Amino acid sequence: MIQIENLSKKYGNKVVLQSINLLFESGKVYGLVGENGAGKTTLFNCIAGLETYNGEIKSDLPILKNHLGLLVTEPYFFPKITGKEYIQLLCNARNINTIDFEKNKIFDLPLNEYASKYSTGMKKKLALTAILLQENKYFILDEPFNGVDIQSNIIITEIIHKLKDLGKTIIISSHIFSTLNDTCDEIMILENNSISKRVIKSDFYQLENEMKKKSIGNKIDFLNLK
Amino acid sequence: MKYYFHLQYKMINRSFIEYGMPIILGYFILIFAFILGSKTLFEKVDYANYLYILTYCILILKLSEVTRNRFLKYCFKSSDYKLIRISENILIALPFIAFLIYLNNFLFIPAYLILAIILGFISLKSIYNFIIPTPFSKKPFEFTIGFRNTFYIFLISIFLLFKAIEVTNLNLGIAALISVFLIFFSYYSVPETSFFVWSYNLNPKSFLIEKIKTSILYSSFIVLPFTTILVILFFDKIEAIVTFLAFGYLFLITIILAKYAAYPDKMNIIQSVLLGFCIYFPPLLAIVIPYFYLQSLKQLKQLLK
Repeated sequence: MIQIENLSKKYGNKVVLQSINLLFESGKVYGLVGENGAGKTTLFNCIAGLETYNGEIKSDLPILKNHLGLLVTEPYFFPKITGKEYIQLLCNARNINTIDFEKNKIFDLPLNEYASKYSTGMKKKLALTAILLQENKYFILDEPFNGVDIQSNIIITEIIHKLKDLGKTIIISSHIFSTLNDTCDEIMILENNSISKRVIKSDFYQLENEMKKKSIGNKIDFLNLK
Repeated sequence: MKYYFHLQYKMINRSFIEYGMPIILGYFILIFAFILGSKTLFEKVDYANYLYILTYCILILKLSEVTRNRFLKYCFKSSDYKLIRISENILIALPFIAFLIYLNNFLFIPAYLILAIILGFISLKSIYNFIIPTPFSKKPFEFTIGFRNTFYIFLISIFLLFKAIEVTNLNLGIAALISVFLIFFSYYSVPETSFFVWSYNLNPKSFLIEKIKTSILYSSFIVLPFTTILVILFFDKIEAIVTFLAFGYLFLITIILAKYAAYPDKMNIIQSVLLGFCIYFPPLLAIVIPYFYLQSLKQLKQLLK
């Protein structure tokens, strides 16, 4: 369980998050939706402890970050470090010293090549592999489906289902509604610096329609397409 | 091209401003630290010429970094790109050459200019295409990346060691040992992104101990064979050899602590100056190490619980 109480975050005078109250239960998948710059990544960074904030974040574990797998939007890879060494580095950081790389070649990545040479999708898959091998209890996946091929999208979706079955808590952000529809139990909308709406699975279809209507409106008409 | 150098100048000025330092004072400290470091090197170390040129090589090789060069190639036409690379290398060589002229030490000056031109042309791209084996893969990070970036510089150190054996000169052997430590120090010059610190389930104290333990263990892989050879050859000077070894380790620890004392920013000028003073007067380490340690704990507190 992760409980967020009255979380606020400012950069200088600019308020990014205001009075966020959320509860993430074990064995559930949560989706976070918001426009670019709405503060999704900032919220994730606050939960992970990468950013300072006002308010409180509680969990059933004494130190949440030690059990949290964080997949950032654009994972950074040091030059001249192989895929295998990247996984080793992140696993060592969590005191996991024995890794069966052959058994865990989920995405058929060239683990003996420099990770910085990987394509965007391969980088994302490598970063995901590393946090899966860390044996975390919680997962924050910031746009896990972006830049990844369709086969891997299917695998990621299945991994999320499996993690859910194992009782893990997963929070995902995505700009692709269908992926959230396939994986999430609940979707939260982040707008105007706070959570404006929480929608359960049975209402996802209605939410999608509302979002379409709100996002598109009559904007396409302005193009006067012929 | 003129605008490129103008931008470089602005970037240096901005880095002074970021440290909260007036620009003129920044340049003054930089020049002062350079002169002090150079003076100390030539006063206290025999074969300082080799270390001096090695330092220059390390500096200009940083400019050969592949992404940076790709960007330059993309921005400028081929002739301008080459001119920029050579001009940068020569600009960096100027203070070294000026100090050598001040010392009436003209022998090595052409080597700086030749290196500036040759390294301006050499692309490091080719060595990026194969995986350089390293003995440091068990705990990947600074030493794994650092070794792959600098393995060819070790050849200079090994050359110095062989020269020391050939001419039975301890000072040259010590210079080889120092050069190896200098290479290791460069591994800690750039701070990693916060994600890679945050990932550790260690508190700040344990994290620093882990970093120091790894650095001592891995540096020993290379440093101890050097030391053993020197001890065998110059057993009567074992105290001097062990003293240099101990100071090498101490400075390595100091540099790790200095890096995290500034984290997540790069080591600032004040820290660099403190390090410079420690090189000049090593007993200062007794104050500087605890200071950097406490600063590091403070800086890491946010990311590591």
